[in-house]
Amino acid sequence: MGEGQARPSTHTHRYGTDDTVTDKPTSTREHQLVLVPSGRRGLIAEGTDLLTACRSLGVDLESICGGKQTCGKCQVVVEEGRYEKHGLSSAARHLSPPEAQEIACAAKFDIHGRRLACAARVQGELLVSVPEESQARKQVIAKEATERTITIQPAVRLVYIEVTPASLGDHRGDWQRVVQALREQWQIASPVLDTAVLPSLQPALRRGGSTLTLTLWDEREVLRIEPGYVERLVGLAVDVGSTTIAAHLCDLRTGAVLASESMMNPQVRFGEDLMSRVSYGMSEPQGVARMHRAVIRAINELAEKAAARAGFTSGEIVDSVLVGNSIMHHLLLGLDPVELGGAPFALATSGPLDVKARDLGLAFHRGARVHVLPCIAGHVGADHVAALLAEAPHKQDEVMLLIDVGTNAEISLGNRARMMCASSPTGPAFEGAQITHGQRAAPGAIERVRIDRATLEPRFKVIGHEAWVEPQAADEVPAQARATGICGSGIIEAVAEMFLAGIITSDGRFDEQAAERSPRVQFEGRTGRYVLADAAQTATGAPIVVTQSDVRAIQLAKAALYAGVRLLMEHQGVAHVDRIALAGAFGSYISPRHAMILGMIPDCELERVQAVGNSAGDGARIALLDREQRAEAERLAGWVEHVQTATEPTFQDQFVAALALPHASDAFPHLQAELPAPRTAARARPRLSHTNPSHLEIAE
Amino acid sequence: MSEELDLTKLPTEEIVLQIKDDLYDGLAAEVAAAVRELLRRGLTPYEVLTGSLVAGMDVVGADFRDGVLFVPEVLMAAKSMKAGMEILRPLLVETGAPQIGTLVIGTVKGDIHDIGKNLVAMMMEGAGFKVVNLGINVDAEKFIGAVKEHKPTLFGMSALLTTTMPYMGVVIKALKEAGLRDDLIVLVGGAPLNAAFAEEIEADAYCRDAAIAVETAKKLVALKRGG
Repeated sequence: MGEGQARPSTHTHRYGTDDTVTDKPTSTREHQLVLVPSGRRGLIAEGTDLLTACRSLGVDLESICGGKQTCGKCQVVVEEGRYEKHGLSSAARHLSPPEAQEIACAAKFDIHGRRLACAARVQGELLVSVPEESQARKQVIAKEATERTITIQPAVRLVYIEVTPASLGDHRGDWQRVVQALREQWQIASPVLDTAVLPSLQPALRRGGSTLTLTLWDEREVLRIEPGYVERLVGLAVDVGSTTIAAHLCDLRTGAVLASESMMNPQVRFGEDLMSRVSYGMSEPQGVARMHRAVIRAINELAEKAAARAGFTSGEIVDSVLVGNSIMHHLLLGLDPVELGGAPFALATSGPLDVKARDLGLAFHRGARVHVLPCIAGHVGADHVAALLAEAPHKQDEVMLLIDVGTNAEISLGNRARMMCASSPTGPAFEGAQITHGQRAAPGAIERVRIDRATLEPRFKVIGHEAWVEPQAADEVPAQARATGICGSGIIEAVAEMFLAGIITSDGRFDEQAAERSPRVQFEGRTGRYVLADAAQTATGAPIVVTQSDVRAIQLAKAALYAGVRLLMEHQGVAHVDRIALAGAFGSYISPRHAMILGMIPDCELERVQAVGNSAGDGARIALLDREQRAEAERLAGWVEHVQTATEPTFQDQFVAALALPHASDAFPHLQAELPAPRTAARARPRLSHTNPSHLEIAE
Repeated sequence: MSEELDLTKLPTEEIVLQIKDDLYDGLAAEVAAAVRELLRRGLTPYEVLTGSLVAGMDVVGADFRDGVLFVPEVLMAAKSMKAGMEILRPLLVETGAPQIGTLVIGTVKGDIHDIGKNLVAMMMEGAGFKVVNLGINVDAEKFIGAVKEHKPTLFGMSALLTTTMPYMGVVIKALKEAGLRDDLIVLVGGAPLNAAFAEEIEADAYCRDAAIAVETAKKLVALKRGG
């Protein structure tokens, strides 16, 4: 129902007869009304309709028609009998009997044993149940396995109006008659019209017989005009990642996700990583425009697919929330991200934006709106703000660490008292780049690794094949289990397992003694490598190995991440974190235990390290469904303190200390039982002092 | 590891080996003590520098290049080298020993990545060069000012972003316009660079890592002196 009109105070317990609503109470008698499950109660003047009465008690019911007994949304149930707890006797006859229109509407929507609150008038004391589906601002669970709920109060809503037909004596325009109807029927004082949809007004009036359903944005702008009574209202939440774009089509009345679609970001062809896309924009005169068009085309394609799957068209999308990192954010809006390519990394704007979808080239409804969430800093964009909305560390007492792992890791740390964020240049190693046999997570990639600590024999799992591959087993490896390379989660587990098995020492060096334990540990000169998959188990016919330089690349990446986290902990004055949320696609696949063994993340109770999936997408959906969360996002973006890690005086020391596995000095009590004993004496180099210097060249 | 050794009882060549060991293991106090002992025995500061410290750092550099040693170990070694250098530096000036050369180095404008460049600076110090480290976000004007002031043989620039590396070309152009380019050996490095880029902006060499930077610097300085 129209929470925009005369929004009731939750403390109002009395509904006066002098209000401006259409009913005309015939007496000043008042009756007790109790609503369940809210427990709200109050005295209601006889003759007041239940829709108005409920609202006066602070319970908004859903209504599109605005009390015209057509939409059938405001259903309620009268409880019959004596209720001592509430001190009243409730009965169906304490409401006015249904009349022709309500009976017709009830038949149309197949309503049994329920009344339309807008039609039923109070004639006696009542206990009324409000079913969940009738409540405005419904709550939906944000995602499985969390308690995060979303209140459904989108920025757009449908209002049904009956417009006074034009007549010879009335020289006003049809829009002016619509304005009058909105004012009288919905108490919307000064609606504005998106003139792009004006052409649809008169045809709609003709077809709808002077009845219209308007889509109203922000309680003021009419952005869609449809004939008659309509109740389809959908929006799109989009997370524009530098690698993947994901879109969720949502029912804006129920909050349900109707369809989700994702695709590779087509900008990848202009540059694999973010900075190379900025460079492309710098070096190509049309580069920014090209990248802008590419992402818009991709979103249009996703919208079309998602809508089609849910039985809609993308032209029905009227509202949308877009999030992305700061460079995606700029390219999405057609802004040149050149300033984000170098210090001081200035954003064109860090604030939220409300724009017309058509102005960005998005093929939604002509009048559709787009809301872009705010950014925090040059390297902490709207996607991170969305992730914060979804994980809501700012609403908890526990100190939470939220990490979105990518080429740049965005990190937030804190609780309701104080939040800080930073970005850490982890580089692409976690995505399998810079790794000898690294590859993206795709069929054929080794994604899980275990190494026997005694025999140093590996087992691994390959994407696209269910069972673990046991390299020492005699049977032939099936074709789809033949590995093509190692993806990010695979290399993290491989290096962590190599450390646990003593193949590498805590400084990351291959241990020459391990070569005596297994032929899989091989040395070329003094540089070691580990054969993870024999030639017979790979699709390439060549062995897949983890080299010394792969271990070094992982050390560099994880140290950058850990040092960033550690700096935020230092700034916050906290010695440990209560909870760690790993966001992003990659966060969903890495094993928290292995991440901790490597020292990517600080010590924490393992059960409290969770993959939270695409938090940015969840946050976009939350902002799509609940307009108040858009204001919350703006507040958050201003409140969270940004720390520029690279210029912090202690960053280099933190970074260097974090290169060791899991760390040179920080304790990991939760891993105590697992970590190998420190082996400081295992210096592998030949002693010079008592040997001939030429022995420098000796190997294993 | 370093069992208590009585340096005074060791033959000189063993002390030299011991310095190399201690450098490798990052034992600053031991390096300093051995340097003092060698000086006491009458070796010239220049001999100690080249024969012990620089030679020891060569081993560290080679193992770093091969991935056997990593950043923390190299930093510890460089710190130990520094401890030895602090004793030698005033003596080198006093004795008028030949200068190995000066390096002016910085991360270019727009880029705030510090660590890789610092590692190069320390390795170059380890190789005996005097290093003027200008820090991060350094513009052409500041680079040119430093070149005029310190008159280096070597000039190094670092960039970690594809977006900031073009600025290296801007600096080289500015050096040319100031008439300073021809006197310098210009080395560039950083993750997104390659040899072709170095050639395009007319740098003298691209260095993949700190160890290679030292090797390249030594080679090009020798060539220049020889020519």
